[in-house]
Amino acid sequence: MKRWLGSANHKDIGTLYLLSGFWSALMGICLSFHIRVNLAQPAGLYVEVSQLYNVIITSHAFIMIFFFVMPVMMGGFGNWLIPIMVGCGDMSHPRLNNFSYWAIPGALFMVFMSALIEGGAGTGWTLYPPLSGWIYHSSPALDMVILSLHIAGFGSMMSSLNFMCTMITSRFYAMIPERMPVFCWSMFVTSWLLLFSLPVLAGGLTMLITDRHINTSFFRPQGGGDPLLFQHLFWFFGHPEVYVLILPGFGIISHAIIKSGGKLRVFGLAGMIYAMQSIGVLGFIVWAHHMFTVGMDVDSRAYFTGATMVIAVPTGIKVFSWLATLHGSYMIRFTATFWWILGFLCLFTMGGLTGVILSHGSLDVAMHDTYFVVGHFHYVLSMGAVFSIFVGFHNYFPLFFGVVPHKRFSKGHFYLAFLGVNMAFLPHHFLGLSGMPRRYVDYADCYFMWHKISSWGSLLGMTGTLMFCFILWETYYSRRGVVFGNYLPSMFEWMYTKEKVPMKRHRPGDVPFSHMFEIPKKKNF
Amino acid sequence: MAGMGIFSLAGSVIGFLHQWSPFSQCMLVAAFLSSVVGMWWRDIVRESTFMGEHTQLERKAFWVGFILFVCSEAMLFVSFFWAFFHSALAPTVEMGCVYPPVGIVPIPVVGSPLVMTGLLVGSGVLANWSLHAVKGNEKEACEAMVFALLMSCIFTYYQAVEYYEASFTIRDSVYGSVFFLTTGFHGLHVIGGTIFLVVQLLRMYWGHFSTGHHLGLEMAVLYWHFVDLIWIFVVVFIYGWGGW
Repeated sequence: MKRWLGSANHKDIGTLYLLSGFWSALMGICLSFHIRVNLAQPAGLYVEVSQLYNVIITSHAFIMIFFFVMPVMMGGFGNWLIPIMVGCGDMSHPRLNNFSYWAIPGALFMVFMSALIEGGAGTGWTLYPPLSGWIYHSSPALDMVILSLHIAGFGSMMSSLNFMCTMITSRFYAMIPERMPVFCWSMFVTSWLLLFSLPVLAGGLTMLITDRHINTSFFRPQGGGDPLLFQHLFWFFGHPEVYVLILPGFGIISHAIIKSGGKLRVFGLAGMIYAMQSIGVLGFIVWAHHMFTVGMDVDSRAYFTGATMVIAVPTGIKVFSWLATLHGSYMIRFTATFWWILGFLCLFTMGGLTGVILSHGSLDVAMHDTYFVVGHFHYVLSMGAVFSIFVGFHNYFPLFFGVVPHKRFSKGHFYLAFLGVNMAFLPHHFLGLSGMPRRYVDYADCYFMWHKISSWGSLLGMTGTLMFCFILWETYYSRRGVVFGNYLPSMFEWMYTKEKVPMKRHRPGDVPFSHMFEIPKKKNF
Repeated sequence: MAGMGIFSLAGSVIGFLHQWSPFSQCMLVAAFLSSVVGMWWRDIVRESTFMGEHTQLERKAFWVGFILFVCSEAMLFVSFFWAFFHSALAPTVEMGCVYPPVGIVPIPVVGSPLVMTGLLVGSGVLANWSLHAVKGNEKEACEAMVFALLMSCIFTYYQAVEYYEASFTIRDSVYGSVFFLTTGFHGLHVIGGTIFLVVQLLRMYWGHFSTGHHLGLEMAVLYWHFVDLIWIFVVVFIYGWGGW
């Protein structure tokens, strides 16, 4: 008990993150299933209680973004892998790391409780005023959500500070920045994005609270304020946040590809790193493409369209480099990991392409707040981010916990999930193009067919999730141990184990991969 | 413990805002939280000073971490200044299309804000002096720090008087909102920085610092300069531009 509550060990904390992230994922997928059940036919379950439907949507978004993807990718994989990959004993600030984790359960509890208090918070995750103002949401539920975001945000700010510190100060001394593994770079850029965008959200949320409770008028036109200000502040955080969700996935995919392909390193290593850095910079200057319809002038829309399209370049560099990494490798076998990688590459690209369509300021006027947008971001998140989490799971579960998931079951799970998510989210594009708006509890009969197909797809995905739970159980029940990992000397996380999987809780004293580098004359701290 | 503390602080604040629970409950939880934080930092002081566990590497990690923390603090103020520019650059009809809005009598920048700037910048200079003096002359360092703290206390007093005497409140249009929230958050950072400096003064007095190892003082002084810098922006934009 003391080990888990007070642990400052990066592996323990990573495991805690993975566990609570998994639990939130189950909760989030249950909520999404509620949404799909409601939309399975016109005039569905929640038509009479549409606020409840809004609350379900809001909770689904918060839980999936802040309590599933971020904790699993950043907290789980980041904590486990960064100290191993940069060759140091633990995080720079282990106690801070513990605190960062324990900010999560309280925040999670508050988000859940908010749904049960006086009608809940049905604002959507964007929390736009005036809907989130005192007049429309006077219940404490919204305060719970806001403060929960404050807490979770503070926690992830502290953990990103910790990651950056670890990578800046504690690298193995021959590891110059260009040689830092791609996953570490992706986490560095992610941390950078979080550290510089979360405080802006915190400021905006603080203003929201004062608007609600002490009668300020930041977002209220009566006093000369402007609701648009909140949208600016929110999306200045919100856009970097979407890169926060996908960038660690980029890192995981790169490592999984070199391992399945038997390559020493990913194609165009420097290009990959610079691509991520430019995403990290560009991510801060494109926020208003979420607000094309608020009445910005044409010049601003032209700028944000152009800047957004520029992001397609580094993303394209990454996708093509992954393909080039796969090209010509003789080791590829169709394992579950490899299937998930392929799934990621195809579907993430698809989501990226719909993103380019949406980035266009004049097209977006038509598509804004339709199901096309829902389809787009579920392709990049539910199939980009979540697929990369599964890639990470299959690639690293044996490394972390020393047991191997069942091969055929895992592939079966992939087929189910792949079919399920495509069936669920591909119809969203058609719905959106024919005009189905977002966040509506009901729809006209003409949308029935695609909504029905989407709901059946959701059922399939749900079955896949249950199968994943079974796989997880079966893995531990059968206890297939790791005989040896087919790794190459450039894969530090495996070199570290010294053929003993699972590795020890605390690292051995020496650096197992020191022979990889020519050692520079000057120490490179 | 800290996580639990923050969670219960948030809970009690909500309770207070909705009049379920008294304000004293918030204070109680805040006291709990600050005791946890205080004991955490006491442990760090013990480890570094008495047990000598802080290597060069760890000091660098603390320093880098602190700089990153200050950067994120700066971004917090970016959001407040964003609110200022958003409302001041294009004043709406409701305010009479002017900034400061019709009917607001702003605090003239030539007056107490300038005095306060002098106090805070002077205090920053003295703190820096103390940082240099600690490398050889601890007595001089202590004296400089005492004066720096005195000046920061006078600054906070001036701020309080200004709040008390202001002809507008936080409810008076977006001008009042931006003014009080920005200066209020800055004031909180001044108080936090003052406490940080007081702790460093005590540690100096107790002889915790050596010529090569006084990271706590370095961080406190850095933080103090950061607070200075923000104040200069506040004076130039919120008082100066906003009150013109």
